[in-house]
Amino acid sequence: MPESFERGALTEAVFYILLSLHEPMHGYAIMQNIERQTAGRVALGPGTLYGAINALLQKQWIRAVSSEADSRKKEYLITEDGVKAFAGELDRLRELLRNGEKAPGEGKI
Amino acid sequence: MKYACFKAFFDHEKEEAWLNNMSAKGLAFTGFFFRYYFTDSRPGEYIYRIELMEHLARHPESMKYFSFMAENGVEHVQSWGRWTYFRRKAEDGPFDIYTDTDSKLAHYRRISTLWLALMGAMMLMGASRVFTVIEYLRGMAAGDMAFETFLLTFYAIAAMLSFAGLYSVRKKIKKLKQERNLME
Repeated sequence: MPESFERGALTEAVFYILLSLHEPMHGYAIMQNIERQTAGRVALGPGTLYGAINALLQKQWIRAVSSEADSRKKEYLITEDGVKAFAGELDRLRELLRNGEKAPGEGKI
Repeated sequence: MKYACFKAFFDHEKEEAWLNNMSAKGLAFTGFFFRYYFTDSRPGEYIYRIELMEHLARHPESMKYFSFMAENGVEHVQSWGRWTYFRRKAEDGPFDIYTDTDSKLAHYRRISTLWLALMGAMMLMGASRVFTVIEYLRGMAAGDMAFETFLLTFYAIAAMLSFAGLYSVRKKIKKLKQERNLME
């Protein structure tokens, strides 16, 4: 994987899409899943979701899988590269958290 | 009942706000053809959004996009070229097509490019008329002066209107870019 991917922060949309796609899901389910997990804080617009899915497909971080139930609705699943990118992002976030909690007065306000 | 209304906008977000206002009053927008058409509906039944798509409405990519939107409960109301009216039932919750800064910026940039191209085209057409008028005044070309003046005025006004559209979208781009320095 090129270095630049590992260093850049994922957008919130991409982070939650990758998180959702650890199991196969179609677009609408991804949106609902993200809303549920964030208690409604992150409500992805369909245009943003569509653009992010296409970009992730192009980068091969996710792939389309055929769904048995409804062949019209495309389902997606995270790839190995996607899992690596997601793990890298988790490391970055852990570092942020670790350093953030060292801030003086953190937790006292 | 069907209603019709004349109105013109430079700013798609003001147009959206107006359509949503009409929707709140129980008038659901159904299409535009020189006028805006509405039918009766439950007040506030629909939320409307307007998008300048990446491709023309007839393009296969747009077809894929429309079916994706339909899966998400978004109805394609009408398209004019790349400009498209979408709506979704308000009971499905808040409806925005683009929710992060990058995709909003990309959308504004498409609009900005469109206005810029339109303004450029109008200025070029206008400039070619200016030369015709000069030649006419020097007695080197035959033509209808009144008609030439009309054309020149038309291009000048069209160029100014395009500039107004361009200016308003550039302002939005600038504001978003400043915000992006701080947050995603």
